[in-house]
Amino acid sequence: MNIRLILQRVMLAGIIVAGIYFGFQNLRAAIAVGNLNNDPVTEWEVRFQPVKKLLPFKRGVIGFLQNSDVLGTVSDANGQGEYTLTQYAMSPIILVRGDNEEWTLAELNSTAYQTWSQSNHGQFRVIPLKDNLYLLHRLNP
Amino acid sequence: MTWLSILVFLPSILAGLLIVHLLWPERGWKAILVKGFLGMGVGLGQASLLDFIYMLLFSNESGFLFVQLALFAGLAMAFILRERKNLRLNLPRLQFNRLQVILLAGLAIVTVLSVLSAVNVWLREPHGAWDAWMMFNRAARFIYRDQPGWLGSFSRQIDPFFHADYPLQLGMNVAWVWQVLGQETQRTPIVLSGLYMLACAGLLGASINLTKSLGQASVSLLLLLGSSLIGNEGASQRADLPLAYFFLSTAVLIYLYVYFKRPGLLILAGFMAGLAAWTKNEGTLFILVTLPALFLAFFRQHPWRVLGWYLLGLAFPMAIVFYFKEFLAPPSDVLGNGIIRSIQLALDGSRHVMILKSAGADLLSFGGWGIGFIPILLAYGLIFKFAPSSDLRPAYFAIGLILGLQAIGYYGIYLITPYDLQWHIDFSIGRLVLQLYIPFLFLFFTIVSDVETALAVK
Repeated sequence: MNIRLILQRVMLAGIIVAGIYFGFQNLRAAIAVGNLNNDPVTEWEVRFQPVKKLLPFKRGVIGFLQNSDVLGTVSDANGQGEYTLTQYAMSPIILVRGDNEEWTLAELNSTAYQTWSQSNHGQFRVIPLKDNLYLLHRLNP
Repeated sequence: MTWLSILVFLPSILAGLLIVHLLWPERGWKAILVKGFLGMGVGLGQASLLDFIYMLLFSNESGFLFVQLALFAGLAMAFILRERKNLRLNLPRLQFNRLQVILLAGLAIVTVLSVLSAVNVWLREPHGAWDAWMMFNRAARFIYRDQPGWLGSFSRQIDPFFHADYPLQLGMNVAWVWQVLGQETQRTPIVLSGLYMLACAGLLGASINLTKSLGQASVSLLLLLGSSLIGNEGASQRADLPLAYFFLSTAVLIYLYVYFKRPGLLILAGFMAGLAAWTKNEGTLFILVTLPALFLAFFRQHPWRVLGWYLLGLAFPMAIVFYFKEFLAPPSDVLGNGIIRSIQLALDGSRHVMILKSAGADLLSFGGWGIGFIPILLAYGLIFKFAPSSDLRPAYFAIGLILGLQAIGYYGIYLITPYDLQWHIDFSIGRLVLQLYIPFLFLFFTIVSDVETALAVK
């Protein structure tokens, strides 16, 4: 048996063994990544159901406020992620940053809400919701 | 809902299969297998394109399934009329040698592991990976949740971050099946991603089985399925695997054109390239690189005729892409820097170094086997010997040139990206390599000696 033939057989055996080994490793890694019942996107969907019910339209534009918008801090990765998740959950309603629209969805902690409330006193009807969420309706659009 | 989603996609896929058969009436089981996997892409692609037109005309109606059923019925009639004298089903006689049995057994285990990985991803992330839900499934929701106002999905007010300019192939397919089912279920995009995984792996294997050998096809699939490329990336519901499928289909059809000399194959190649552009923005670059590549590769064999057939297939999907980009989609952010700033960025040497370093590192580790697939394939080619056929030289040249030019195009996009370059590279380079790797695997295994011949067990 010549050397090339041996190398060819070794190569094929190596590909089969490596394919099975790394396929198994990949499956193990995929299983280890996380809980099957804990999808954050699905949880986000549930969180925003009440907001969608309160809005008087199915498609339109609403404002979106986060702590960083009110406190003047730089939006962190979590803030951007939550904005993205909220847009997905609220589709086909378009979220634009700020509170310039007739309706605004605010996701603010108590400090940020107090700050925002002081500078916008009397301009909005505030509908408080669970988990630091507020739906704001501008009184004079 | 999983089976219902599959059932709703079925008439479209069968219509695709019939379109492929009417344009390429080759017989034999090996060819039928290739047609089946090509038909899946043609079917899903035509459904998405036609649904786009349907929504433009009748956004208040939800009868698109009947359009697909009528198309299938019409094509079935044409098929029966043409094939009425040849309608005979000859079952293939399966006979494998020992080498093929060993390779197929290994492939079966690897396939099961890959499917289990995909199922795990689907269960863990039913909405898909970040890009999938943010862009493609979000687009489907915008279309489905308010059909009469669906054109609002492309409002300039949507944050550019969400890429409302991205083509709609996946979004339209998900949305129209939701319309038929009457509810929004994540099973539909999951089924769609599964169909593309099957089509991609199936086409790679079936086309190498047709043009080379079963053993060669098995080795190529072991390299594809034995990594996380299909099981994880395909199940993530992003558009990169469907895009890779359309790149692969175009390459396979160009190769088959040189092999069988049927103009219908070039029409299909053009259609598949158009569907690549309807799937992701990189597909538009793909069209731009295929045109000069085909002209140069067939320079001595009627290049204008080759381009003519190709453009014929390209015309319909490209017209839809053009209409969408020109009249509906907001501007793309990737080209948002303007010409002068782009030239400045392109002349910055440090950007070239950063891109080349990252690309080199990715190519040397791509595939997740510790050693990258490129060194493995190089060693494989040296051990098994390259044996290109002189008759197929235009095909090798065309596919090689297309993949090379596409890679150069990606390099150029990195150079002028408005995003932080290192972030953009880290975020996307693995997926860009995947897009080109699958058609490259096809090219590679059509040039290398097949395993049965090399081991003299044919």
